[in-house]
Amino acid sequence: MNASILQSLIDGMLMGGVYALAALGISLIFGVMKITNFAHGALITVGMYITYECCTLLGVTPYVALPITMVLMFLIGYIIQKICLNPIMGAGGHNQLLLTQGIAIVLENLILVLFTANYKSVTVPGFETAIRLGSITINKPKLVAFLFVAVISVGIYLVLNKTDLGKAIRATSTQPDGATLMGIVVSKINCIAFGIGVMCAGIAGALLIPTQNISPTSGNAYSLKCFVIAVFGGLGNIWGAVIAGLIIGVVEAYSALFLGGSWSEMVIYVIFILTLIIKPTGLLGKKG
Amino acid sequence: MKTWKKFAVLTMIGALVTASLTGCGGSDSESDTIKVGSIHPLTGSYAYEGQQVVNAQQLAIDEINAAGGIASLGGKKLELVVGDSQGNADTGASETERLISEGVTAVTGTFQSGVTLTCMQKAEQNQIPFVVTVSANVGLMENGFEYAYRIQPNASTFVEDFLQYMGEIRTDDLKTAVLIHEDSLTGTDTGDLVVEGFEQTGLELLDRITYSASTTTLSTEVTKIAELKPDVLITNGYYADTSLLVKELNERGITFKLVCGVANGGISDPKFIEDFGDTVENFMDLNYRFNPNNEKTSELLASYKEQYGEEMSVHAVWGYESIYVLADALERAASTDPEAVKTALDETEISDHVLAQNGPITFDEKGENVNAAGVFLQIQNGKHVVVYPKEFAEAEMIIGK
Amino acid sequence: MEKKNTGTLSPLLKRGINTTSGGMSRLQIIIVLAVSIFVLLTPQFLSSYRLNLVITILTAAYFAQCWNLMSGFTGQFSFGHAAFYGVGAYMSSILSVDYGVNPWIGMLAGMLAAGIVAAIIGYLSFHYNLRGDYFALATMAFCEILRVITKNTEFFHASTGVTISYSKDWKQMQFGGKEGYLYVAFIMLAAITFGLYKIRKTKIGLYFVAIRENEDAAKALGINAFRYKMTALIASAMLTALAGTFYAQYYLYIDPTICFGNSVSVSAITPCIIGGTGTIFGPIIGAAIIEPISELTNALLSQYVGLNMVVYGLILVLAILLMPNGVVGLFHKLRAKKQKGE
Repeated sequence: MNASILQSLIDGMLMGGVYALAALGISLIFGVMKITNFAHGALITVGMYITYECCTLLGVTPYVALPITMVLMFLIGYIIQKICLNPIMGAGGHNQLLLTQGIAIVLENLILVLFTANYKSVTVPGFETAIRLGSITINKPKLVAFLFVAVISVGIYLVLNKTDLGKAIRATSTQPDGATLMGIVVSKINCIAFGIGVMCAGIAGALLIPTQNISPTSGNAYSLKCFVIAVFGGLGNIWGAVIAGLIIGVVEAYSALFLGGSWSEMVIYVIFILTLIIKPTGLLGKKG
Repeated sequence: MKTWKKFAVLTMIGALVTASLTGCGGSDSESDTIKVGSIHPLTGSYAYEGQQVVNAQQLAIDEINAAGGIASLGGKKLELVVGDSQGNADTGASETERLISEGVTAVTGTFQSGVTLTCMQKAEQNQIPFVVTVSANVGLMENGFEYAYRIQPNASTFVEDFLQYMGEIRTDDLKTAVLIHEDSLTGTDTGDLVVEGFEQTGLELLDRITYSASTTTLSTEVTKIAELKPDVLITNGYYADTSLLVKELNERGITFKLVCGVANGGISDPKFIEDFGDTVENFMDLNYRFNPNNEKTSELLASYKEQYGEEMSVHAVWGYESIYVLADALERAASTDPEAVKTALDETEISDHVLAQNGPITFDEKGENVNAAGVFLQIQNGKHVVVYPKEFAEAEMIIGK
Repeated sequence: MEKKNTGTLSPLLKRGINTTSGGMSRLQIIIVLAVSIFVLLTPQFLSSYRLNLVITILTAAYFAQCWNLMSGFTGQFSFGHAAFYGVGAYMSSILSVDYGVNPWIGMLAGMLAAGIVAAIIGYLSFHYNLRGDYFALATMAFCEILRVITKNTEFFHASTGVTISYSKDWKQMQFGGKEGYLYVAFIMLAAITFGLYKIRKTKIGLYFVAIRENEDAAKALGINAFRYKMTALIASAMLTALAGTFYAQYYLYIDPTICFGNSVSVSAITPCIIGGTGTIFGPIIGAAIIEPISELTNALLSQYVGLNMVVYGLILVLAILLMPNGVVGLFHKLRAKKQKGE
């Protein structure tokens, strides 16, 4: 039994890393623009298919294709914000919500039209088997994803805190009117922030490819979980999202171990509601 | 300027609304083809499977038309009218209504039992025959519907056959088993029935593990299985979740004396072998199947591959056969009147079919195919072969290698 | 405290009154009557399929109107209205299938149950002062919890779902043909719309709007925001339960995803936003636009797999971009422009 508790801890942490990465995007987008982006799941799928295309066209692994995915996803995000979201930034939150739902429907089915519903997969040579440490096994693609999470969250942290762009983004998120007065073009900053958020979704998608078959609905399963994590960690808080992702991953693994997979979703939502009630600003958020 | 743009969009939307209410799509007029309705999930989570079934239906229709259509109706051609259920029960129901309004003689569908039920109900209310392509739920045909027919074995037949055959083929070194299945309608149905009659197999059931079909990870479930070290792993699920399971098992190098599916949508799919190659050698599955020893089957498989560029899945075979059952009824009824087709369907007796079942396709008073049965298939040398029962077997069963 | 004269609220409420109130003009009354008569006569000349579409529009409009009561008027944006819908559907169905309770009574039980669920959700959310997106996410999570519970509990038939037997008996809340369902759906929609129209002008209605426009200001003026938010939520939930029961009795089969799925919650919101949130006729106009479009894209593009949904999604996106305040909002704007111009 001890072995399986340890094993579940490791599996949960690794899975949590992937969740964290995907949630990072949601958290950032909400933090800067107060948009609840329901297209995030579909954007993860888009990331998967872009990476898949790169892999099959160029014959490379998803990790080599990652820079291409990142650039394309950033552009997609930038364009979505520019064309669809900027015009209605002033309207009520529910408009943005339904709009992102609409975008999700378009993206998901566009993939279906372009790639058909057939399951696709990419194998990475050497990744078919896991690393063994005694009775414990470690999934390689998820371990790699985990390392990427560390690098990328540090990267985003540095961009936000050490660069002029980051300053502009932070200014926009706290005081959009003030930022305008300071000569910051808020609409442009919004596009960049949304682009970075979507890029996170794309990276998550790319890193998930070696772990599963992909289909036009693959990303949807991550969508709700990402919201839970982003809120749990504190919307707009990078380290919060990372820690929350790890915690949710482990909680999910343990509830699957002790309660059974069917009930494990429930535990996550209960945590979610408790967070909202007790500390809506999340784990690392400032006191509301 | 902007207001004008908005006004244009509004007018466009208005025109669309009027068009759909006054009805431009469907024409109820006498046409020169016989319309057959088909409702399957073509978008959403089961689009992969839904498309396979529709492909096979189209293939059957092309074959029949190429052979001269329905002779008793003066060689009238068949036409497949397709509806997308999107995996939703209410969309399925309204699509059924739409197809009926377009004048279909019968409706077929729908891959998901919940959707099938509502579609069937709509067909019943409109007195149009409904032929199930794929949907295993037992309760489906227990509602007293008069216009509903199902060719495929239901979950209970699957499980009965599974338990019986398992008992017969069990060797002495197979002692323990773990059952893992997804927790939607089909999976739960199957799981309950397996647990109920498990004694018959002579195995000891160590645990029953359930998971949600849309799950993103099964590593904890795999950890549980690894801990229990069963001789036999019994699994029921769809394609995506089963391949996730096998992927995680493979990575950790966990093997069993026997992996056996019960109506598993993964193990029985040709793509499954493409994905996993040698690692799934000797996996078994109790499933519906085309009869491998029938000449027509190999022709069918070849022409499907030629048409669609991929191997034909087992689900697809039931789409294919549903069209032949309807064509046969139309031929005997010599009429496209739904009532006449229903009467003809009641008297169906087709011996010339491609299914792995003993005896002809013929329906009982509930509309179930009396002779529907499952067979054990196994992956051998990178191919699916039927290994049990003997009358359909193409190869010897290999267990515990 | 909250009995304060509305006069003192005037600066705050003026906006609310202006945006939502004002009597109907004679033209508007004639249009409403004409459309009503047209709808009631549809069974005489439309085919079964078109009638199905009309019923879908009516029920979608009703569901959206329920959402409008709470989210449109009071501004408490819910993204989990499927919770109440599902509770209504499950309560009446389980009672009638397993306990032989007449669905008409089951319907009332469903309303009661939904009211209780809403009270729990509302208490937890409002007591801890959840607002805006946080409240929306909380309702979504509650809805998911209900889905997981029904999916895993034998009492609710787990994932097997509940099948209601077909009877054609109005006493069993089934009406054989389509007409009966159409009339019932029409009455439900007419009643809730009339109710909303009336309530707008009462003190409660004004408080609702005040809370939507600026909750803190409303509180400062002595409105017991908690109480009125709870009222709106519970009323909305109970009425939503009715829509759930109607669905169950019309399609005769429910399962956890049909009832508590995310798409159900979205379907409550879509007509409102297309037509105009917080307006009396917005949800109806929205439903009359979006439902036929969805049918039409299905019918015309069925040969091109997936394209039907792409077009539907694009129309949704375009509609929001071009009419951020819905059709009703656009009309107001056009009228204002015309007046200005002349």
